[in-house]
Amino acid sequence: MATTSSFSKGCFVFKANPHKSGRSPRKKTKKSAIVDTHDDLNASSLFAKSDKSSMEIRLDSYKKIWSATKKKSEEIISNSHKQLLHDVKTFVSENACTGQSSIPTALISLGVNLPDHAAFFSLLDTTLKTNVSPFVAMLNSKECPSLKNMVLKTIQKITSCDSIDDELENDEEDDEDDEIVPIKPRSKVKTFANLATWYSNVVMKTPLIIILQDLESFGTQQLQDFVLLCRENRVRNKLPIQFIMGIATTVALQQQLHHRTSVCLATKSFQSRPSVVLLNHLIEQLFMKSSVLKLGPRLMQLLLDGFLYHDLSLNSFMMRVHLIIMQHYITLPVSSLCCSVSELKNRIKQLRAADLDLYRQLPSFMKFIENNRSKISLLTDDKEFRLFLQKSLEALNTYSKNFSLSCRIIHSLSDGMPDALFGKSLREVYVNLLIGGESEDWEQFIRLLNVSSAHELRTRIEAALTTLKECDSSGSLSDFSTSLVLFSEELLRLEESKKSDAVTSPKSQNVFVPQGKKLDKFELKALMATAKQVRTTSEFDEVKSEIITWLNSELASRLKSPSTLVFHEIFYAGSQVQSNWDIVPWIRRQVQPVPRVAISKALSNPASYLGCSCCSLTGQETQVLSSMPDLCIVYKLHTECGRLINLYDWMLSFNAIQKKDNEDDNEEIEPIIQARFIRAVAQLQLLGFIQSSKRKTDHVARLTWGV
Amino acid sequence: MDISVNTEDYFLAQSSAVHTSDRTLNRLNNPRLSQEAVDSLMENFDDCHSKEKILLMKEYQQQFLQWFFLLREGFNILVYGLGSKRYLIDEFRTRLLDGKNVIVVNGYFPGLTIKEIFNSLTDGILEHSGGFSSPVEQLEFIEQEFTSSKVEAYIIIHNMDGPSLQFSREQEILCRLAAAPGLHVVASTDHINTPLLWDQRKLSQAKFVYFDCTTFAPYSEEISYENSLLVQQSSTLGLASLVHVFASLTFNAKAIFILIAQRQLENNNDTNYHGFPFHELYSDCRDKMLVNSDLTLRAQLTEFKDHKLLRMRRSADGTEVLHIPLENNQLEEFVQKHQE
Repeated sequence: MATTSSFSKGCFVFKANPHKSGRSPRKKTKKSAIVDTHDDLNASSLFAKSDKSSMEIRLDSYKKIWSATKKKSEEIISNSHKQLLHDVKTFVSENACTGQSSIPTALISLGVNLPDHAAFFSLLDTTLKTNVSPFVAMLNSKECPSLKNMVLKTIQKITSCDSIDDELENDEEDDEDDEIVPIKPRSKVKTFANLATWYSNVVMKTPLIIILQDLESFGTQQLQDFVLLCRENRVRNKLPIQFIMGIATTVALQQQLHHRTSVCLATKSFQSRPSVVLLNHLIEQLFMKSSVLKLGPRLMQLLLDGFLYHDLSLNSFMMRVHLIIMQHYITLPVSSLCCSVSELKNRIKQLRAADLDLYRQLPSFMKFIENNRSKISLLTDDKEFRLFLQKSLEALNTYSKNFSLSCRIIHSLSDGMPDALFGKSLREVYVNLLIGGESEDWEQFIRLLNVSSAHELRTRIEAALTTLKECDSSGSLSDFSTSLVLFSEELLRLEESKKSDAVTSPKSQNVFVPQGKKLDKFELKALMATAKQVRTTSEFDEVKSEIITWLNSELASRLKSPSTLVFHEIFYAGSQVQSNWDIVPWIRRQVQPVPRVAISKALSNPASYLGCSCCSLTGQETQVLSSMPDLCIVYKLHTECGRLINLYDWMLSFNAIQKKDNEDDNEEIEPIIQARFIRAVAQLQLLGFIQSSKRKTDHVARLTWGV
Repeated sequence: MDISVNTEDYFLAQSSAVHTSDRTLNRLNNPRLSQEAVDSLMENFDDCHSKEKILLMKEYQQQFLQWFFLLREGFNILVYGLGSKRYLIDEFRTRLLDGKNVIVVNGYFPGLTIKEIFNSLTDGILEHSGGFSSPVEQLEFIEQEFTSSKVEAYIIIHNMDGPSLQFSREQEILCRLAAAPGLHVVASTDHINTPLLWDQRKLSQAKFVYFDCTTFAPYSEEISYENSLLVQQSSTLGLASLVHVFASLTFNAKAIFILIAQRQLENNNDTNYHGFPFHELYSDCRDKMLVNSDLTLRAQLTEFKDHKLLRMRRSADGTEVLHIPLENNQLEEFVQKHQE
């Protein structure tokens, strides 16, 4: 290929197959078909890297799983915006015909996760266009650097809705030569006055809606002028203009909307749900339902950290999920069995004998064999192993499903308890239990149940029952619900009998001390002992202890993290596996990219990348070895300096390190040393560690501090 | 490795007085090596870790298939780490992007403009013949083309943080391009503060997948444009362009330029000399019948200025002065050559 280095330009174009750029459509499809197969080949060879025999299956599964996940997540997100969209739509159509001078304005507070807003606004755009008015102009601050642009863009967008219909009609006629892009006729409508005439000719008198996506980023003055201009036209030209403004923080209102501006607006504020709520919803829907691939504890924690402490953005969360799904199928050869239960049997049948060993290497299976020495024949007997594999994977699937359900149950049972046991939201409960190690919470939970009243206990159990009914459509936990129904009936009966008891005999046992009588210590003790006895033997306590025993035996065993089960590595991405299959470090680098750390590490400890023995550090990180690359030596020398560095002295110390020990101490610097030093310093400048300084002759300024 | 940032250190470093010696590079036998001298010296320099570097490079080349797959899946690639990644990315281009639409952008090239990238896309790839009234319109056209039609192109950006791209506006545009479904970006960065260029919105548009490719390769190409601190200001280029432009000038214009040059050489050692005052030049030129009005002189000077042969500035007393941004020895050489 031609060179891409030149003194006169910085941009080089390589056009695909320049000789074949024929315009005939037939040729084109042929060409693109070739390109596609070529790209597919590349994709399969990527999947073949970890294991050749299963590459097609894994590539297919990846595509299927990701497209399903993507579709579902989009659905979830658009559903969660439904209410807000409806509210805004109602507001807009309600205010469509008011003749008031102030402009009806919907202020939508959307939170700081700016990248996610685009999805909402595009939904809003389509909703408004289909339901209220085709005249919608959506603006963001980037397209409107000045008031002039802003007005032009607004008018262009409003009027273009009208012309699209015409274009569509034209398109049907000349479908054949769709390669020629019709040049858009330049709109003649350029001012608000033009717009008013244009609007008077429009048949549908629906409102003109102007959406400002990111109110914060518009200039205050520009915004003010724009609003005043719009109001002027609303009053004088009877243009039914309405505003919809997206805001990230409430502070923006005071800063952006000056008093002069805000008096022109009749505002109503709307609030979207916080993105954390959306995330909870997303995780519940994506990973707690019947999804095939789930996130293992380590990755879940990583993604949550990225979300909660870094960007609060669902977009980037989904991007990371995409990467995880991709990486899981690329890296893990055993992921060929990461499919729905119905396909399992067939896929296991297709496995070759050599493939089975991959499954035997999984840490969870090795552990299983260690604990069950009697099953050692699985290591050699392929037929038995296949059966075992299928059974275990099916069991794992059922367990995962029940695990999510149990999480829901425990969430409704523990809801509202002090200290937010297991977690406040369902997502937290799920993640905490997935990560495991919640035995303390469990003990505390039992303790709290022990001291709760019959009524409280019954409400909790009924809440759990409702959840069960809602979520367990397959009835896999039907025995669960039968027991729960029994318990709640029992409790209800107790409550009622207690009520009637209270009417007939207010004091069943005479443990009360006649008033006025003084007790001594022993009498008091004896009295308390009887009181205690009375309490333990009461019917309610019996039921309660029954419930607790049941919980301890039934529920607790289902709350064990699924990542303790055999073969969980296949379905839980990012589980502990052999280091060459481990995708967590790679994903971590994507969630928390650290370019600067990589550079610092390479500079201070080059052996960590080069893997050479000559440069390995024996002491501190500041140690300088003459064998290191020049750039590293120069860097290390510069970290010893303050704000300014004397180039001459710097060069001398570089020279001193390069010199052999036996040479005498003259300060003569060889040209080659000088050239090497010059190179290294220039590179350090490119990296941004130093810059030239005019404060002292032949000095440079250091731009970092510390070591 | 963790970088522990101690904020105290910053104030410590800023507050303490600078203690450095007063020695200067003039103590060296040859205080300023020329770029050519450095290049020729380094050519013979034998690098000690070449074997390890080749191994590293091979290791990174293993990732090419993954890069390609990620690009096809709608992600973009960002390569970071110490050492020039030019060779690595070029290797990727030749191996996997052969026969596809590719644009290579050298971000380290000082004269690069965003317009050049736009033009490469519209003229080079899309073969669009019409013009655009504004860059915004051009960008919108590109976005639309690469979103709606099936055309695809790969943009390779060496040094996305280069001198002409390291601004918010440029990064904004690059990220917008990266977000278009038909455009795939492979970019490299080197500056330690590059991540500060990107806010949430840009990052979410760019969808970067990060790869640590520490190659330890020298940045020879990247720093060749930079005005290095220790190298004699690269002059051959300036002189060459001067000769070139000069040859195409009219007789009068040549004479005017020589006048300025001579004056500058006369005041060679005068540190207070800032340039040739405009009104003096005007009277000199009129005396020699080179120009007939203030305006014609200005027209001539504008031409010099456009070719960066002349710098105009205001001196302390407010008069306009003219200065040729060339080393004196070169100017001398040039004037001598001309007089011959």
